[in-house]
Amino acid sequence: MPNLKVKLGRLELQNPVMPASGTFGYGEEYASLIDLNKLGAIVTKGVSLAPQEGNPPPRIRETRGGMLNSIGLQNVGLEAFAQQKLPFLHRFKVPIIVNFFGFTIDEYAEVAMRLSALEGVAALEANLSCPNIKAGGIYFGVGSRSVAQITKKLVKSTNLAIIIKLSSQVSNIKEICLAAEGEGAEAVTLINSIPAMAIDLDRKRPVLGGVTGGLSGPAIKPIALKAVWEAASAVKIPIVGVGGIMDYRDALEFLVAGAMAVQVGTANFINPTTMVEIIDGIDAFLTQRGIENIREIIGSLKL
Amino acid sequence: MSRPFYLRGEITENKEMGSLYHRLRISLPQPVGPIMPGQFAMLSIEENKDIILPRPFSIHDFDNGEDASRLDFLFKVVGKGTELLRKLSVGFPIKVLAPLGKGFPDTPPGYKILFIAGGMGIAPLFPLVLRMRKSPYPLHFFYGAKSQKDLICLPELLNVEGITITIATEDGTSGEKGVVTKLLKHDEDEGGAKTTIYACGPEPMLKAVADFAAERKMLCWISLERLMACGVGACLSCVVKTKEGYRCSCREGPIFESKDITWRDDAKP
Repeated sequence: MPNLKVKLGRLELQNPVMPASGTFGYGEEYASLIDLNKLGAIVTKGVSLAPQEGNPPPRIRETRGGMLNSIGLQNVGLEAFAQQKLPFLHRFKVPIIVNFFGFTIDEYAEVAMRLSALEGVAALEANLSCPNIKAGGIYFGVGSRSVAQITKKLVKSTNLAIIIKLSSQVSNIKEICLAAEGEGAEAVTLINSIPAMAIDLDRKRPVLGGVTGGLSGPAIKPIALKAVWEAASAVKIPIVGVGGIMDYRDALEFLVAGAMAVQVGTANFINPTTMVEIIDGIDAFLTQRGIENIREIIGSLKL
Repeated sequence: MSRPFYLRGEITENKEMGSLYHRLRISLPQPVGPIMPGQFAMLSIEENKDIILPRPFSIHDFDNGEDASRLDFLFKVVGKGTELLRKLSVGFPIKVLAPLGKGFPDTPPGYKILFIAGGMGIAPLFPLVLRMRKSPYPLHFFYGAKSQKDLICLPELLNVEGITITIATEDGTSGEKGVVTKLLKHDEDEGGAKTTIYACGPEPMLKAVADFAAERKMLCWISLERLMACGVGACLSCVVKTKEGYRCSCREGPIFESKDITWRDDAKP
């Protein structure tokens, strides 16, 4: 049996596979369909200080090789998350990574502080890159100065490991990742869904209620791979690769590009057992090639 | 709510029922019951690179009870996904996530029952009629469609004993000419408040049904169809606007009480 263990900063994972925030609810939605204890970690739907209603429907559209979403970070809010959602996850032995966001830097810090007081939270993933909200979110994640500023504040607000989730839609991904690393982020997640839109020609209207949305799925995998590879050449902190991973081979490509772990998003919708199949697939791949430790694969790209 | 299963089924029948309509019968390797009328399944085809997301379909017919391992679906070819389903032949594998959502709730004792189906809205209402056919209370089925050829379940419905059927077609080729909701007016005073309505169909029709029920303080359950991705309440794509905010059609629906819905001007909540 090859060793699949990886580390994201202080966080130890039994394997590198976890869901992408927003595609796996709060875990309970999938608990009857897959064994959550097999995952490397569970990443919850993004939580904010106050509950968010989200964007008007339609919120989804399949496009060629992918899907657009305009959910708008609908969530139950921190209070309800702590009382109604998080306790269910206590029964599982895998680390719980809570994704969160705010509309101001102070709000990000307050959410981080309050989440760290909760039992059973292993790490925090700050969403600095949602394409679907007008204020906050993506605006903090596009410049290295604001990423540095917010990371610094978050690291001061919590004792937990901070993971910064970033967008590929930036002029210099290396600089931004370096900014997060420089201020104490223990990992970066690359990439969020990509700002995109679809048009209904007959009605001459946008297909999504939120007009624009985020593109995910196989269509964005090459963009995500390149972002991960670039970031891996710049920073020493681990990178969590995400974008269009559909099977174990996709996941391994991200590891070869330099990701320490991967997140699976859209594929969960197509086949709810995808993540377990990916873990088994990685295990079999390494076994067949006589590779004893997954760390041998990480960053093994030959140029 | 029953917990869903994700299984690889096999198509045992794909029957054409008029030019654009099909009935798909899927045999599952294990039972997924109990199933309630109004629940649905997400169907997807493995190894298909073009259509990536599963598509939701009402469960139209099923083996009864906990042993349900045979599911029937009715569909109309309207786009790429259904065009693909149309071409599937017997023996073809298909992935099934089911049963999903909440079914139609029971009706209080002593209530008269109205079923109102528009077009493909017949799909979840037909198993409900079968379930309720032994009810000691009057059952009245209003069935509307564009044209006679779109009344795809009419022969099966006519075989159900003990129900009154009223038909409307927009072109007048069968039953009354016009939309089915216009016919409701003639029936209004028979049941009064002690009536339960179960409705499924296009949303302007459901809005008209909701208004009709509200005016008469009738209990009214409607099934709302939405584009969705996960089917289990995780992705929050399929929301319906209700008086208490957005609710997932997949998990908190697809059956809603009509008085809880906040309708928009274009009759979509």
